[in-house]
Amino acid sequence: MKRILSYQQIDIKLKNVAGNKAYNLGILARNSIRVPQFTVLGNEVFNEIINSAIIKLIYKKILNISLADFDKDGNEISKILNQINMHIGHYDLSKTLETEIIESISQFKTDHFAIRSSATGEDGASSSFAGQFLSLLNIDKNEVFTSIKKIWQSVFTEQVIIYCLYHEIDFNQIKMAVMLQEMIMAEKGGVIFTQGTNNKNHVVIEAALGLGENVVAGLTDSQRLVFCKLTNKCIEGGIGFKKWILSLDEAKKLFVIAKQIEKIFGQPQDIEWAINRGKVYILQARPITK
Amino acid sequence: MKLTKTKMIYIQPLNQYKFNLKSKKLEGLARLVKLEIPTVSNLFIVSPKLFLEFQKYHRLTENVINELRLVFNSIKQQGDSVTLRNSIFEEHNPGIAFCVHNSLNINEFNDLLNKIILGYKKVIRSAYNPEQVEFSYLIQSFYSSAKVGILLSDNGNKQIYLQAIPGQHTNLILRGDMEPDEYLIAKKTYKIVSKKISQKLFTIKKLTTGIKKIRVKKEEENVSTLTDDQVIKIAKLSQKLERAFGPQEIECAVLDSGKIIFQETRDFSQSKKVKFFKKIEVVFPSEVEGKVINLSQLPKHKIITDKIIITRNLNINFINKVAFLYRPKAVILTKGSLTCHAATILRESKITTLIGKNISLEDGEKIRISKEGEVHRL
Repeated sequence: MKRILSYQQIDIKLKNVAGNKAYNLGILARNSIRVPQFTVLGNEVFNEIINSAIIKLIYKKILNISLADFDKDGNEISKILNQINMHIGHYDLSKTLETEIIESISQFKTDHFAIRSSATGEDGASSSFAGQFLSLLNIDKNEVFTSIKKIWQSVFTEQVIIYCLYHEIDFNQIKMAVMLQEMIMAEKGGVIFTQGTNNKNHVVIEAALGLGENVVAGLTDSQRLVFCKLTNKCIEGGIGFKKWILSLDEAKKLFVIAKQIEKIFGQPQDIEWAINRGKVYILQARPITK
Repeated sequence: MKLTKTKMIYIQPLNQYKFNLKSKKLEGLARLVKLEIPTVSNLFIVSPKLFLEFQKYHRLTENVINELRLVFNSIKQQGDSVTLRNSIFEEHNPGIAFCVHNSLNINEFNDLLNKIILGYKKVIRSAYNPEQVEFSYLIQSFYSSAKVGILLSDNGNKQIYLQAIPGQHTNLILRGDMEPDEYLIAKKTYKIVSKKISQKLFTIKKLTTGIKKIRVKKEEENVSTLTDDQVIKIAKLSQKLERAFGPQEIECAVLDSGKIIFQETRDFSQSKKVKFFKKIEVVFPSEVEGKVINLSQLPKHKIITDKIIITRNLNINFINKVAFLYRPKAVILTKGSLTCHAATILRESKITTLIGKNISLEDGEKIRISKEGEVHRL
């Protein structure tokens, strides 16, 4: 049975195998929004790993952890997580699977890749899991298999457990699929919120040079523009406009695409984007959590 | 030779001085002059130009010395000794305002000259850039006051708050050396709402032999420093200033003659808005109050539950623990933006969250955050 899914295959029936991130991106691709080429390693492999005899026993201990335990048993919890991650690190992908993976990424025009998490529960309307799992960028073909394991390992971290406990998400429901994407060498990247915190008619665009990662991780100062959905005009960052990162035309393009995406999903969106050689790519779209 | 007939280049009497300086002290004096509020008589301001000249020539010129002598003599002829105060301003160096002490009760001209020169030399050593320093001397009569006080023209509750002690120095109040009497006056009606009279054991007075600490008479120990009439007069004058310039903190005195004067006035706000270099972004709005703690990593114990955290650490593990385990009252991020992961996590945690780059608050400062993202010092 093939473990790798193309974006065209990811319909509602396979959403629970491909994870929310891949599913959302697939919807955009089918609606003619430009996204990087991608395939998905479904979460069945992850499920097999955590159900293996050696990990199952340790895994059960995680399900008994509570928030209060982080006060007293900080080191104990780390030990449990380290044990699981060690076993994941040593897991051998079958030759068949390795071949499938290589074949799927060989069709991309790039020789470097983005390996991203796509978990069930991730990118949801009430809990985004923003920043909780790993995304690895600019990965060479030789590093793809270890990168996939790192994405799996990113489930078993204190931060994810704390996040699940606080939001009362059943940790057992977190199943990790892995997106294998062509790497877009972003000249500019950033994030768009199709609704402002104080005004639902605002679209907020934040941009930085290089990867959008710089904005989401707060690594650099970003340029900010705000558009009004009612008037379609730039109401902030546009008056006395000086090109810093985005030109006004580029910003308008992003605004139009953002509105389209919001319309597709029927709710406000948190969108990660990149621009390369004048083309806008959407890397991720998820609901803005309330 | 009368001062009015002599052309003075470096020194001007207070009511003739053209104020255009950064010093808060001189700005305060300008306000008193503008509103014709009684203040120290015989006050002369030495121009900051003299300090610049001093740096150039490393001495006071003959012309300058002559001007100083004229001023000194004019004060002495009225039977007073001389006080030398100063007003020093340097950008980004607030400490320099305190590096030269006031000199009181100067009776010899050479003494005055020496103190002026010493003050200049000290500031030249202490300043980052002496040529950028605005340094004015204030030469005035050393007056004898029966009572002194400090007043807030609005204490935040629509009341005027006045502290007063018998004698000479408001420093005794400011330093906490003496317990002052306290008066609360309603702003609208000028009715004295309350009085708290402290026991006064000593006071500072100017005597013929100099400034002395003297014992207060037993029958006067628990007597109100100010009469009701004096309290109301001072309160009314303070409102004249407030109507023109906003809430004020005022140093006042009642002279031996019974005349009320204001010595200094400066802006005062009960709750100070902190203005930051960039607009504060509200990630999750709600109103909270609390003490600030600057955090770059997690503390060993949960001491932050009732605190407002300021941090530039956007590491997800750190943010998760702050948001979901420690649950402070609010978080102010000094890095990142509305769309960064840290902001999203904090918004989901429903903790009041702001983003304000260049925010600078000390540990322990108490602040209030409004729903609109305004930060008030309490």
